[in-house]
Amino acid sequence: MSTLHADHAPSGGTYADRYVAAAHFRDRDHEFESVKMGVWLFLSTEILLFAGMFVGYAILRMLHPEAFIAGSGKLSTFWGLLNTVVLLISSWTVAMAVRSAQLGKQGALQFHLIVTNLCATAFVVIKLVFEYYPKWQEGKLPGKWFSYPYAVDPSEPLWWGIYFGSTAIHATHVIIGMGLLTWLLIRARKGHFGPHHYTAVEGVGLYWHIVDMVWIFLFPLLYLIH
Amino acid sequence: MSSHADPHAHAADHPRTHGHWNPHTHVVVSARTLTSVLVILLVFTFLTVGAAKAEQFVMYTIGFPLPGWVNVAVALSIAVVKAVLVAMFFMQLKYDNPMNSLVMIFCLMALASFLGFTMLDLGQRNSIYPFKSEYIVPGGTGIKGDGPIATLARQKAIQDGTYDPEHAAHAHKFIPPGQDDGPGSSAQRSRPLKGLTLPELGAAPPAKHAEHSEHGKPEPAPAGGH
Repeated sequence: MSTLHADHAPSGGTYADRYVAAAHFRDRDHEFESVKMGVWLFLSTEILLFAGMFVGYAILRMLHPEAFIAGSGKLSTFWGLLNTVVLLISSWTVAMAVRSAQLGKQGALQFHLIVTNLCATAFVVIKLVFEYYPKWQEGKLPGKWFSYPYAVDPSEPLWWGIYFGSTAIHATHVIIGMGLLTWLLIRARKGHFGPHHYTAVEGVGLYWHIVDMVWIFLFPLLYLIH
Repeated sequence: MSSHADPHAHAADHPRTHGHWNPHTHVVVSARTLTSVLVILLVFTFLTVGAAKAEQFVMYTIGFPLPGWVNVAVALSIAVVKAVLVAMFFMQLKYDNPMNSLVMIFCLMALASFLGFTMLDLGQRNSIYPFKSEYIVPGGTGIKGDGPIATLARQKAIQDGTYDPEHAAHAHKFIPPGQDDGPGSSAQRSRPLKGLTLPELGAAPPAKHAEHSEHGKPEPAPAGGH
């Protein structure tokens, strides 16, 4: 059964083959499971962060339903839908990256990490260039920065506060994810991941899925009100 | 027992279906499963957009007044199904340590309690206002000037000569056909759900309203079917 330092460090092979768990873990699996649960606890705090915004959304939508209908009507469902598709595909590629690491397929791992990062870039570009920038130009901005003269509801600045607040925090998570994916790619190119050690790929993958999951809720709640 | 000693443990390319989670057996979800989940997620994404369009068709073209909760209920039901799929297969909760699922479930229970108590509070506002109204102080808008931000934005555009009445009449989506000649919401007049809007954002004095009409601004159409 389990003993301390059960892992032996093989002399040959890649970094992943030689990897030995930190001294306070029984073995690599113990370390992997502990790290994974730590990631899940972090993800739960992420959900609670977005929970605050969803509660704010619920309050303001109940108080000002017409402002939300009018504001949502000014969003482009096309770009929102495209971004949803891009993010879902990136979630699939990151799941495939974890699978590739588990099977030791180094080329596939790097390919899926690159495609995931390209999707993340596409998401941010669409968000900034086709959504944020035109709205900024027209003065559809939160609260006191609102200067759009054709509002049909006096509470529209509140709607833009919810829209920009929630999507900007989400986009920040995507940008942080891009950094993490780049870090994974650099490590993958050094051969750090393999069937015996892919903890970082798994952890970043979980983070990326939760970012995707938040967008799964944000998209209908923001873009599909009528 | 070292995971290193069991090379086959990591390459189990078939998901377990029932219990007996074992930290030394890392499940590799098959590519077929992951791809099927992606396809289902994409189908549900288009389904949620299609459902929103169908609701609009029913409400504005057919003229059948759907209750307001239908929009939210349909959108959120589809989003929950998508989120469960992401959590079970992409995030591998189906094959994972049940403790990780428990972390997520507790987190969602916290979110439910936030939303639940908020809804309780909002739902009881009408019984609270009669004896609380004398203590309620309306908040500021954060900018200098008299009136809602949306109204000030319009007044500023009119003063600057950048206000285009034609644009005001055509700038808004979701104007139900045949209803765009009647009076509805405007920047001067809101129709709140249950009289919850503060006086500052409510109906403006008729004189002020007439003053804006002189600038040739057509009456905006109702923004929704409520």
